[in-house]
Amino acid sequence: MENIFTKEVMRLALKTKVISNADDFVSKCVEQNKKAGRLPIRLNIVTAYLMNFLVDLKNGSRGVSNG
Amino acid sequence: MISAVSNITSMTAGTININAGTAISNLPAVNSTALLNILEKFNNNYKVLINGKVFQTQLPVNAEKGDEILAKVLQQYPFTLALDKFDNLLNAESGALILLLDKLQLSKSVLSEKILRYVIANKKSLTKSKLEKLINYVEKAGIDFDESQIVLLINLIWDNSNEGFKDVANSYHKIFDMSFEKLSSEIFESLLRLNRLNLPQEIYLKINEAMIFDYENEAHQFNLVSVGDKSDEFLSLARTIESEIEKNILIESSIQELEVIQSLMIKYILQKSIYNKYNIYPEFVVVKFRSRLELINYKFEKSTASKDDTYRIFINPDQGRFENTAIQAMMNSSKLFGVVNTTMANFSRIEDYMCKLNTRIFEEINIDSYLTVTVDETKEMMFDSLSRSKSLNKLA
Repeated sequence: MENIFTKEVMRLALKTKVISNADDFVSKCVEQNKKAGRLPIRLNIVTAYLMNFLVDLKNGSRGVSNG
Repeated sequence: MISAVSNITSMTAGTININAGTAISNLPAVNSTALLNILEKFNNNYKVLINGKVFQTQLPVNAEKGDEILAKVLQQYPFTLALDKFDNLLNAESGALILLLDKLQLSKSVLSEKILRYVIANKKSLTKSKLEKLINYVEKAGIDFDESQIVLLINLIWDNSNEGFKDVANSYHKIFDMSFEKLSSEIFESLLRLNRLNLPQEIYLKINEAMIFDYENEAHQFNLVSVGDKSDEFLSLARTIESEIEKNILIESSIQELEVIQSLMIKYILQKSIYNKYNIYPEFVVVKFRSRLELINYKFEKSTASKDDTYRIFINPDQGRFENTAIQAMMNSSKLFGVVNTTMANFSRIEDYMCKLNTRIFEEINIDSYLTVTVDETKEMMFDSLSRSKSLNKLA
C-alpha cells in the first residue's frame, strides 16, 4: 500500500505534468526509495568535509593558503 | 535437428554449466564466443541451440523465445559458459567489440560500440534484442544521454520484459528529458531568480534548509541535509508552494517562478527514486560563501557485493571554479580511501590539509581516512585497480 509520501509525490508529479499518468513502476520506485531510507549519515558528514575543503581551497583559507 | 538434449548441472550468477552428455564433439573451443539461440522457454528451463546442438538448461538471465545471447566458453568438459565475462575486451582494441556486434548482426556504429562497452562493464548479458532496443532508444530519443542515464537505461531494459519496458519507457522519457546535472543546474538558476523576489519567509527558510551549505555560518555550516537526499525537504517545499499559491496573494511572476521550481523538485524526487533503485545516487549541493552561491554536483554509487556496503564518491565540480580539483573516494563503515586530483600548483598546499582532514574524520566519526593528493596524470591510479561498482553488476 502506498504511503503518504508516495501519494503526495505522485499527485504533485501529475499536477506539475512531470508525468502524464500514474505509472506503477515510478510509484513503486518512489515507495521503495522512501522505505529503503537514506544513505548512511557518515557519508553526508564526509561529503560536508569535502565540500568545506573545496571552498577552503578556492578561498585560500583555513590551512589551504597560497603561501 | 536435435543433436543433444542435456540437463543443467549447476548455474551461478553469470555462468552456466551444461552437462553435454554424449555431445562433447563439435563444442565451441575454450575462450571462443558461443551464440546461444533460445528455442523454447518452459518453466525455468530453456532449450538453447549452440553450434547446431540443442541443450536444455536454466539461464541466469531473463530470456525470451527467439533471443540470441553471446557467451564465453570457459571449458568444454564440463561444458561451461559465462554470460558476464567479456570485460577483458574493454581494454582491447575496438575491433574485438566490433566482432561481437558482428556476431549478433547489430549495426556497427560508434554509438552501438559505446553501448556495448557499457553493457559489458555493467556485467549484463549480451542479449541481442536488449542491445538492439537500447541502441534504437538512444538513437531515437533525441537526448544527449550522460553515462548515468545510459547505465540506468541498461538496468531498466535488462530488468524488464519487452512489454514491461514499453510501459517504463513512457514515463522514463518524461522524467529523464534532462540529465540530473542539467536538472540541478535548472534548480540552481531558479533558486537565484527566487532570491530576487519577495516571497513568504517560510519558502526561503525551506530552501535554505534543503539546499544551502553555508560555508561562512559556523552554526549552519554542517547542514547535512544539504549534502544528502533532499526528497523529503523538496516534497515539503513543493507542498508549501502549493498552499502559498492557493492563497491568491502572490503576484503572477512569483507564481510562475514557484511553479517552475516546484516542477523541478518533483522531477528531482522521481529521478532520484529511479536511480536509487539501481544504487546510483546523483546529488548536488549549493555552497554559499562570500555572499555568492555555487553549485556542486557529485555522485555516490553503492556496492552491495560484500557484507559491508561500500560507497564510491565522485565529486567533480565545474573545473574552472574550484581550482581544477576533483575527488574520488571509496568508503565503507570503517575506512575511507580517496584521491584528490588537482594541479601541480595546488599539490603541496593541499597535502598538509589532507593530513589534518584525515585526523579530523577519524576523531569525528571513527573512520580510518586515507585521503591523498595526486596530480592529473595519475587521476585514475587508484580506481583502475578496482572493478566497476558491483551494485550495477547484477546480471538481469
